[in-house]
Amino acid sequence: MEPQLFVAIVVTGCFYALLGLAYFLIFRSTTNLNFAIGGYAMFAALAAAYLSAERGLQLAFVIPIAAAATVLLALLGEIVVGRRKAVGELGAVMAIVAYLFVIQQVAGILFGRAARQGPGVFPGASIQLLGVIVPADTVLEIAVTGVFFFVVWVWLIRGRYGRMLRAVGDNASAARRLGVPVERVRILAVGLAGVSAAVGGLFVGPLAGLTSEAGLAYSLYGFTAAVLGGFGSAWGPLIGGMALSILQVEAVRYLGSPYLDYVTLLVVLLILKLRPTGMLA
Amino acid sequence: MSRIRLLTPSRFGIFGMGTVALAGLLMTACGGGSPSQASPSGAPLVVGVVEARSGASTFYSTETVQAVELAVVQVNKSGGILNRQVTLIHADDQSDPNLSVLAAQRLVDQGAKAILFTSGSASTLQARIVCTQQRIPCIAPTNVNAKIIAPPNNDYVFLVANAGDATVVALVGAIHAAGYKRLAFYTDASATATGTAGAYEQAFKKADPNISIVDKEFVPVAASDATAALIRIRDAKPDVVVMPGSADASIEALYHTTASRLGMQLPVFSTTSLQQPQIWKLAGKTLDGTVYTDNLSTKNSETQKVEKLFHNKYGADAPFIGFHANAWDAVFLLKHAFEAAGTTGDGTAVRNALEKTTGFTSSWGQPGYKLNYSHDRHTGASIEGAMKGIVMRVFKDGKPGPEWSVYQPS
Repeated sequence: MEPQLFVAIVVTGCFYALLGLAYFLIFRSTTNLNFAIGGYAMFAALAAAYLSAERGLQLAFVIPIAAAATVLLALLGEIVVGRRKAVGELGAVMAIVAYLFVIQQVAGILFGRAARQGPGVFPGASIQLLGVIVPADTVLEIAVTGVFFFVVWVWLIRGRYGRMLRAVGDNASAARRLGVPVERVRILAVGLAGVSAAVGGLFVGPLAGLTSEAGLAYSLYGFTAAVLGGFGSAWGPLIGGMALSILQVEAVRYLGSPYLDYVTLLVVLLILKLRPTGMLA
Repeated sequence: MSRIRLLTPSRFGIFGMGTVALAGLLMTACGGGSPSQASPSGAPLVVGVVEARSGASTFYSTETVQAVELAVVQVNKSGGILNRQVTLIHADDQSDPNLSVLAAQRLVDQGAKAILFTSGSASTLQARIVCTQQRIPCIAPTNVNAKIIAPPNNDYVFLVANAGDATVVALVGAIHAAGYKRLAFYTDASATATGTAGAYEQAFKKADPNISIVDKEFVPVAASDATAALIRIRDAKPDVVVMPGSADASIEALYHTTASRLGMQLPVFSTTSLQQPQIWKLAGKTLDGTVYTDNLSTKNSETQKVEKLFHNKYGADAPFIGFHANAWDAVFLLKHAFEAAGTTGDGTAVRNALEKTTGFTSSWGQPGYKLNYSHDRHTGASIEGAMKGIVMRVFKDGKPGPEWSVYQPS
């Protein structure tokens, strides 16, 4: 494999993994598949690009503002849309997809319809590694993704609320009877999912221009990563994201660009048919 | 929901008005209208604008509407049309061809005597039936799909910009002039872009059997990485990479930034999609050296006049692009046709006047480029010298640079 392709796989895989982790956290706490997650990542990326380019804010302000706005968006989605259990599972999925389109429209109005590129932490800086040019932002993305997954994993295993989250995900009624503050745990998980999507969006923003309509594709990629890795372990989305990225990049490399989406959809179909619990069930 | 904007000189500012008044005389003369500084006192002449405020056509629709509004201010400043102030009303089709018919009909219901289509070609194709049914003249200033002016329902609709087939001819000429034989295509995977690429492929093969397309990369919209696609292109060893009109600016920009990172230095030929300033922002100086088809010449004095007015209204940093010039001409073509017909109430007479418009000095193209219409030809690109509406330019310092010295369409 060409070394540059390896870099491309890791960069894209980290993004998919962070989106997949957001799916994981919300699913484990609410049993909902939140298809608006791609919209959260898109919103973070465009908010950062807008605040930086149009408002001239420094990165130290841009990142927390964009991340906070994204977390609020995620919480709003959970409060307004995600809890509509009365409408059944299909109704909840339709409501959250509708919420995704609302986010895309709102982002278009707030940040414009033209493609925007987010600000990098180290714009233009790169390092030479084994003859390959690796942007410094890529190194940062890999480090932050690794640390983020490790922290979430430790939190789920050892943290008080992390263990409660697993209990809520396994059986919310039983957890409630045992005194677990189910709603608080869910809000915390959804907020953390918002952070994960925001981090992904903030890293993907500088890679290429993106528009408010990117949310749908991001949701699909994140969902695929989560399903591929499975909802059994916090490491699942990381493995799923990397696997999806490898499949996509190799499909484009050896079959051609159109096969990126074909392979993604084929993977979703195969995994749902053959191993619906994912690789790390 | 449509909205009404009454454009008056007061929105312009005193400085802009002074410049506009001076340039107005020039533009009225070149546009064929009768110069008049008297304030229009008749009932307003309503012109409808179908626009896209969301979806794929938003960018060029927004830009086109900006220039339409600028031109209407200028028309009103110079006496309006047949002593009537021009009023614009707008309807949004959300880049959805299925909504464009409703949008056009709504404008007619609100009194529009002419319609400007600023959304995508597919929208105009759907909505042009309203023009025929209501017998009102319609102009699509920036659309390039030649099917718009082909039967059926083509008798009241007109194009201003060069049809897409002219751009293909120009690019074929440029490729020939440069002596390239092995071509790689790169564009986004949207239906519009892949369809255009197919048309380009046929045109290239027809023009020169020795030309071969050695690779085609259609990168999905919303892709954040194109490394694998570029490595495929590199391995195919093309002489040149051709970008036959991306619908998604970020995908075209992604090629340039990725190629720069990979150290690829293949020549790149692109089309009018590079008129989008957002690509300039996204790709910056990695665009340098790219040859592309533009509508604007650095040597055309008519272009410079409109560009100056545009900058006065929208700021010196606002990029002036071909879409603006196309839209400007559309408004002045309407003015010319209404005045030649001598009425605002007979759409067929205005249509006939548009068909008889010849020698209309364009604000774009190579110096001296004229628009000529006829009953059988509803595109302004002249039969003779049609290619002079296209200017081959080279990017320099991340912006459209000088005319390409190797080849210019003629």
